[in-house]
Amino acid sequence: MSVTHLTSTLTDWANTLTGWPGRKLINNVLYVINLVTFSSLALRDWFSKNKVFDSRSYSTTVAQIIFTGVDALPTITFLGLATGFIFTFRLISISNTLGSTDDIINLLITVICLSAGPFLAAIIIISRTGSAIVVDLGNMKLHGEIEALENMGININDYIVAPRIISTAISQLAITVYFTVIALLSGILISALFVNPAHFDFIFKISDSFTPHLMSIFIIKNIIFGYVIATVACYNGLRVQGSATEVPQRTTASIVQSLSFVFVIDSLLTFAIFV
Amino acid sequence: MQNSNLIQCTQLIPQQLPFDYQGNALDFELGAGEVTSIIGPDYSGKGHWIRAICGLEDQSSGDVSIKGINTLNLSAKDWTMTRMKVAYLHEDTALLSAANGLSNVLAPALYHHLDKNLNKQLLAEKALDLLEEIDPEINLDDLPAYITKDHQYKIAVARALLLEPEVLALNNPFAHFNSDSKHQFQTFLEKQVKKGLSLLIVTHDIPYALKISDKIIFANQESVHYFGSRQAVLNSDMPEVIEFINRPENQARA
Repeated sequence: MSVTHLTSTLTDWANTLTGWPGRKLINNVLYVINLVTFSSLALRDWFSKNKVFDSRSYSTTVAQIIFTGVDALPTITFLGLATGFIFTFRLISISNTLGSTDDIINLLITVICLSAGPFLAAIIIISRTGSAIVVDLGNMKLHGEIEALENMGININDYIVAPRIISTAISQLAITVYFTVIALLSGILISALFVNPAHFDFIFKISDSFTPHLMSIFIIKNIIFGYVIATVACYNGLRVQGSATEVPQRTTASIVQSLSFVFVIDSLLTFAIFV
Repeated sequence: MQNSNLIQCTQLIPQQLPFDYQGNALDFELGAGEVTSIIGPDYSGKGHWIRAICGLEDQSSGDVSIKGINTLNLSAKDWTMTRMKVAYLHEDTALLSAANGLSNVLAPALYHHLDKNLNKQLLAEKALDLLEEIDPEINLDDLPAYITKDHQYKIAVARALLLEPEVLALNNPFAHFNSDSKHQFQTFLEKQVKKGLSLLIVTHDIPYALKISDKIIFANQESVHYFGSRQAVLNSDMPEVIEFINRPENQARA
């Protein structure tokens, strides 16, 4: 091997190695642009033809809310009770050593309402709803159901995608509200019953401290989580082409991508709000 | 001036023919209440021709107009209109797997707000009448996975007809039928044609195609020929047409 050839090969390797992060970054940015475009088109078609809950996609929306929100309540209740016992009860019961009551209340709002609640609800929705959407749409695509609908003049964005995105966002918010209430109430009640009855006052103090500013952060964060999870799931489901093996591959990809997006968005929002 | 043709193709060649097609292009018009069959040997791209005629497949040359609207660059509204006016079904057209037979028939009609003029109850009754006419034995309560293939196909046809199309385009419609159910379905189609529905059909049942068609398109891998009447096909002096029509499997059975 000549010196020139060796130098050329080494330069190619170096270029490949140094170019890899750049290419990866560009691919990821393009993927995010794809997702934003995909969901924007879906919502444009929904709002251009529908009243918010038009009869044509009403049943799809309601069915998705029932599956995502109502059917998940037993799991969410269990997680809420566990979180109440592990975090709320523990934090309140050691409140004397941690600081003032206001500090504890701020800690509970930050940890339970703005961090753990949305995050755990998102994980539940990714694992239940996100994966179900990918399998559902993937199989519909695979079996020609999507093609048949399109051949009858049905707009898939309006009929299939947008209802799932909107109902998942609504369900994420509702589930987190439910989870947060259960986690706070159960912890406070246990603490009031077994440690100090005065801890019952935390219910009113937390309500008073939950300002409109925090409330809007809570709502926006949850709606973004639900929106992103459903968008990623629908996008992956509709990318299935002709092989049954693509369905589990897309499901796995959707779960990993949704988790990554939730982590990144949570970090960015936390940074933007609290730093 | 309003064009009376429902579908008009000029110099059409489908883009996705699965072989190197060097033959002629198709000029073709389909009027109201007419029946046109596309026939030809296996692997001659008939499915691509019917899809291109219906505006569902891009063309490598020529134009397709549906009710006077060119199918290139359709607006969303025109796309919806053309798809409702020209109903296309292939042999394995899928039903919604999560909905039972009746819900499958009603879903597109509800999506297109046909219940605005006719309330949902009346629309359901109309769907049931249509299904009764196609085949009274179809089980409408089961999910498609538990319904036989021929019944699934009949449900798909009812679903398409409930949208009141002017053209019903069927690609190999008798694939899943036994002889009895095929005869029953053919009788149903003939009744629909008498009511004014135009039929565009790709079929391997050549005697049936010759029996019901006003116009016939013969396609093979080298060329496409348009015949204005069934007699024109029978009198054709083109060797490939004569050879195809005279094949034993294409002769009318007693």
